[in-house]
Amino acid sequence: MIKRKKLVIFACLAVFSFSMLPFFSTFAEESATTPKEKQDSISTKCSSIKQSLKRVQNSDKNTRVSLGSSFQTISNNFITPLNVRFLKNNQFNSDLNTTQTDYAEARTEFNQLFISYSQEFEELLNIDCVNNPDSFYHRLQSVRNKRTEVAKSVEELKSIIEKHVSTVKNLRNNPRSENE
Amino acid sequence: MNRGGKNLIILGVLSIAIAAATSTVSLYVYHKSGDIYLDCSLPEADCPSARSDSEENNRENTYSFSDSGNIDERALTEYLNEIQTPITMIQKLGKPFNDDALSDKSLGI
Repeated sequence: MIKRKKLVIFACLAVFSFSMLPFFSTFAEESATTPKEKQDSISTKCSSIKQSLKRVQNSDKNTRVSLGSSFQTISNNFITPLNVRFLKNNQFNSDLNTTQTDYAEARTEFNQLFISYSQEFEELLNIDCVNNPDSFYHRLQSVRNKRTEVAKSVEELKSIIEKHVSTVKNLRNNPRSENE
Repeated sequence: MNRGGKNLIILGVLSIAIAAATSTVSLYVYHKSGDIYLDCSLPEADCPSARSDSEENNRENTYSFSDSGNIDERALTEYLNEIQTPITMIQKLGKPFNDDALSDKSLGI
């Protein structure tokens, strides 16, 4: 009986330990100390690093606006009216409809990711890098991760546009086979 | 100071306090919601829609594919030609938000 109890306790502990592994690894990543030479470099060059970051921040804002404007133009002036025109002609194309939905979702995601990235960026700029180089560097890593997510969402939008253009080209070249 | 004057001062102070409180709340919401990062009306935001200096930008914003008419080869060719304008604008930006801008090297860390 006692042996069985021990076995159950051991099994529970093993399951608990395995379930906690992802949390421990995340914690380990976050708590990893920044190398001493990087900390020193951040502390001494704090002001110039922040200036560079502000330049990147301004450039990102302009890029976001240019991209956002073009993405909006493609949606409002092209994809939506084309689908409406198909409907008015009693034609239905599932690929075009899917593109419209995917594109709208990808645009929303892009905006949300950019907001999240910008907020993280602002928090980074608010950290005192002279006295807290370690937390500054950790936040910088987090900003980099968010930036990568934004870049991925842009690529996703670009690939949806490419797919859309290719669908329209197919429709133009093979009108009968594509229209359902 | 008579009673009317006192009331007038109280009214003025209250109005200022209410205006300050509502402005603070709305600015907080504006910031917290993230709209501040997407706002084209900010002076530092270089919104193409607000610029009139570029013929290409104007064209990008003014052309719209008509939602009525036939679906034929001619219409789709026009569509494919015109959609190239915003696509080119996107391509001109290269690979936006790439990792290089925030690398240790470019920040001098």
